[in-house]
Formats: sequence, C-alpha cells, structure tokens
Amino acid sequence: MMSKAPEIEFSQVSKRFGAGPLVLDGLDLRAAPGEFISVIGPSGCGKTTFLRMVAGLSQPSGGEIRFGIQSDDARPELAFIFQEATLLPWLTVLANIELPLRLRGEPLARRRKTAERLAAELGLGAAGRYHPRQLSGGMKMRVSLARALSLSPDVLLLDEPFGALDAITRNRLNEDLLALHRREGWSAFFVTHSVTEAVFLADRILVLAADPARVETIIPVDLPRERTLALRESDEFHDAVAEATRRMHNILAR
Amino acid sequence: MNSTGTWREYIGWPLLFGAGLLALWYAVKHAFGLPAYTLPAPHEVLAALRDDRDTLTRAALATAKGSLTGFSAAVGLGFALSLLIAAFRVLRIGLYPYVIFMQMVPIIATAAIIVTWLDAGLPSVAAIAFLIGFFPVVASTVAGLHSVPSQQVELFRLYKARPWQELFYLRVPASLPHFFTGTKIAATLAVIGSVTGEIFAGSTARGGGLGFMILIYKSSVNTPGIFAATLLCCILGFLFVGTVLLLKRILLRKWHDSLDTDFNPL
Ligand SMILES: Nc1ncnc2c1ncn2[C@@H]1O[C@H](COP(=O)(O)OP(=O)(O)OP(=O)(O)O)[C@@H](O)[C@H]1O
Ligand SMILES: [Mg+2]
Repeated sequence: MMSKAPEIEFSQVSKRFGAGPLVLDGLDLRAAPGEFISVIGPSGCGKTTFLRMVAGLSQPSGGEIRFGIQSDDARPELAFIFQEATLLPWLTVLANIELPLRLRGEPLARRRKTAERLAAELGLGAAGRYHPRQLSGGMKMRVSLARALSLSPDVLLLDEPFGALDAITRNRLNEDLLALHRREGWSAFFVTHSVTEAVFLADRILVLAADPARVETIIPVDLPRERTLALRESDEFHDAVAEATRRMHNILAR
Repeated sequence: MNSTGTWREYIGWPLLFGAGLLALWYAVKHAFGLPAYTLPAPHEVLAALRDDRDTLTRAALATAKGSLTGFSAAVGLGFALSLLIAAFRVLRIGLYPYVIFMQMVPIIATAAIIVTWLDAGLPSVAAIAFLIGFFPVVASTVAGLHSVPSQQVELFRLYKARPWQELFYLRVPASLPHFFTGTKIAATLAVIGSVTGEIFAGSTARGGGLGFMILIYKSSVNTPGIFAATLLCCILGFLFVGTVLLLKRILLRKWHDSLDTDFNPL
C-alpha cells in the first residue's frame, strides 16, 4: 500500500523562542513526495525544533510550511519518533503499537490485526505480550517504529531514533527502515549525529548550523536508492561519506 | 523476593530480631524491677489479650469498621476529586493548594473538632479516618496525574487524543504508583485516625473500639490491657497496609519497577 506522501515546501521558515536568538532563519526547502531527508548539525542548532514544526507541535515564528496535494483541512498523517522509545510501560507491546488506532476509536479486533502484522514485520512477533521493561533498547525502538507506522503515515519524523543503540543494532534498524520506506513510500525527515547514517539513509542531507542560524545547506547523496549491506562496504559509499563530511565541515566552518 | 534474598532469609532474620527484641524487653523489665502496671512482660500482654479476648475482638472489629469506612471513602472520593483537579485547571490552581494545606492539620485537632459536630461512635470515628486519609490520597494522586513525561503527553496530542482519552489512557495509569503511595499512607492513618477518634468520641457506644478500650484500661491502671489493645491496633494497621501493597503488586507487577523496594517496609 503506497501512502499519499505530499510534497512539503518550506518557505522562509524561521523560529525563535520568546525574545531569544533565531534558532532557524529563513529556511527554504522543497521535499519531494516520498523523499528521505537526513537532518544533521551540531547540538542546539535546531534539528528537534525543525521536526517539531513539521509535526505541528510548534509554530514557526515566520514563513510557512506547506503540504502539497491535499486540501486545506486534510493535513497529511504525521508520525513522530522520539529519541527515546516513549512507550507506555503499562501496555503490552501489541497494545503500544495499536495505541494510535485505539485513540481513533478503531475496534479492538481490527486494530489488533494491524498491530500483529506490524509486530511481525518488525521482528517483534514473539514479544507481542511483553511489557516494555522486558525489552532491549533496540526492541523498544522497533515497537516505537511499529506504533508510528500503525496509522499508515504519509510523513515520518525521526529525532535521533537510533542514537542510543550499538552499531550493529543500529545498522540493522537502518536497513529495516529503508525496506519499509521503499515499500510504503512515506516521506521522512531523519535527525542524526552520524554522517555515515545520514548518507546511508538519505536522498539528501539537510545541514543546519547553529551560529549563524541562517546557514543551512542541502547535500545530495549520489548513491543508488537500493541501499544494502554490500553498498555499506563499497568504495562508492565511503567516498560519499567522505564527501558529505568534507562539505559539512566547510559549511559549519564558514 | 529479589535476586539476592531467599524466603528463608526473609523469615529467618525477622524471627531472630524479634526474639532479640523480646529478650531485651525482659532484660529491661528485670534490670529495673518494673511491675506489670509500669511495663508488662510480653507474656503478661498475651495473658491480657486472652482474658479479654471477647471484648477486645469486638473492639477490634469496631475499629476495623470505622477505619475501613473512612478509608474507603477517603480513597474513593480522593480519587474522584483528583480526577476533577486534573481535568479542570481552575481547580488545580484554586483548590489544590488547600489540599496540601489541609494535610498539615494535626489529627488530634481534627478529632477534637469532629466530635463537636457529629454523633459519637462510628459516624465521628469514620469521619476522622476519612479526613486524615483523604488529603494524602488527593495530594499523591494529583501529583501522579501531573507526573506524566511531557513526551508521552505530546505523543497523545500528536495522535489527536481527546482530553478524556489523555486523562484515562495516559494520566490515570501513569498516576497509579503515586495513587498507591497516597493510599498506603491513608491506610496507615485510617487506623491511627479511628483510634484517636475513639479516644475522643467512641466512649458512649457499646463496643467502642480499641481506642475506647485503651481509655477503659487506663482508668483501671490495666497497663497489660493497654499494651494488648495497642498491639491489636498495630496488627490492624499492618493488615490494612498489607492489603494495599498486595493490591498494588497485583495491579502494577507487570510494568512498575519500584515494587521490590516497596515491599520491604511491610
Ligand atoms: N521550548 C523551548 N524554549 C526555549 N528555547 C528552546 C526551546 N526548545 C529549544 N530551544 C532552543 O532552541 C535551540 C535549538 O534546540 P533544539 O532542541 O532544536 O536543538 P537540536 O539541534 O535538536 O540539538 P540536539 O542535537 O542537542 O538535540 C537551542 O538553543 C534551545 O535552547
Ligand atoms: Mg534534538
């Protein structure tokens, strides 16, 4: 089932908190439907702020974020994945996954079926009746992903979701995420501190700078869309990471 | 109960310490040559329990009834008020400070005031047990209802949850550990409250409760009797708190971390 991912257009988006300095200043960006964009930049540069504005959890102080295709009253379905899994500890894995559907009033039998399918797809099949405290960090993040996917979102917003995980778990989750992306076709904004991860996942990388906030750049990732373990070990990939790192340093050093 | 202890230890050590404390009790009594009306020996307390077992049983049941009535009302109404305070900002800002303030009222003062308002016996005893437990339940539960991590709240907002869904699917379950903390306090205080109430107000009723028995024994300088009645107060409180902790364990066992440390004070 392909989602109806919208085009997303940012025009002159800026943000400041109260009387503080500008966190984002005149951000222009047009994200194609289904595009995967990694967001990278030093701590405090406004990555979380950027995601929160896309999610509607926070309003821009200036400029506009427009979602293409759909009519004014129908905003696209957005799913936010926090850095922590943010599961409800009193609910089982399945109940956590189906929570968004429950809040929409979907009957138990239907939402349970969706939750079971997603649990199986994310390799949680055997853990359905567990409670979050019985899960490893990687599994918790998988539950958080499954929960986000339960509403068949059009746009996925991920705020350093795998930052606390070990490299092996993280790589596996990256690959699973990409497989889901290929199949479901949502758009994604993925905040990370790792250039390697940013390159591996994205079509383009948005680099945000802290000071001055005005500086932001897009680095295209020149790799085939099919990203596999083999690609990760290729010279092509290492070159792309090196190139992105170099350009990022140039931008941030300006 | 936890990974470092066995059941044998959990029973053995308390028994050993209990024996030690009893030995100390006898030692003090004999060292100072204290008579029973000053410090009765443990076996004299047991004898008092046995001699008056019918009266004391009736008294304990009366106290249990007063405590349970007041405690149930404190938990039920306290929970209800907490929901209202969580749901309406005005109550949270306007009323909640007074809830905190009311917790500071000394129980003796509560008892003294209540007996001038209500009939002696069960009504005033239960009212005192209620008043003393009500405010801790509200204070803890409201704190719990507002202790939800902000990201979980944002998650609910993101999923366009209605206010009632946020309250019942998120805040209420998240507040349960706090609710039980308040309830545990209320359970302890309910028995203390009823006994205090009975000392003030239970005196006219036939079967006036353990507090009343303490008064009777005091007037006849029956110190072993006072000890016996006091022992029953402790056992009653222990049963109350134990029941609350058991309920907590059954309800929260699957997901809450603090249970293991929580059970030890029992
Ligand atoms: N609610 C808020 N009120 C005031 N200032 C805020 C608020 N949220 C964020 N800021 C400020 O905005 C700036 C950007 O914060 P943000 O959390 O977006 O950074 P970030 O890029 O996500 O950093 P990190 O990589 O450490 O997560 C920071 O200077 C922060 O202090
Ligand atoms: Mg952040």
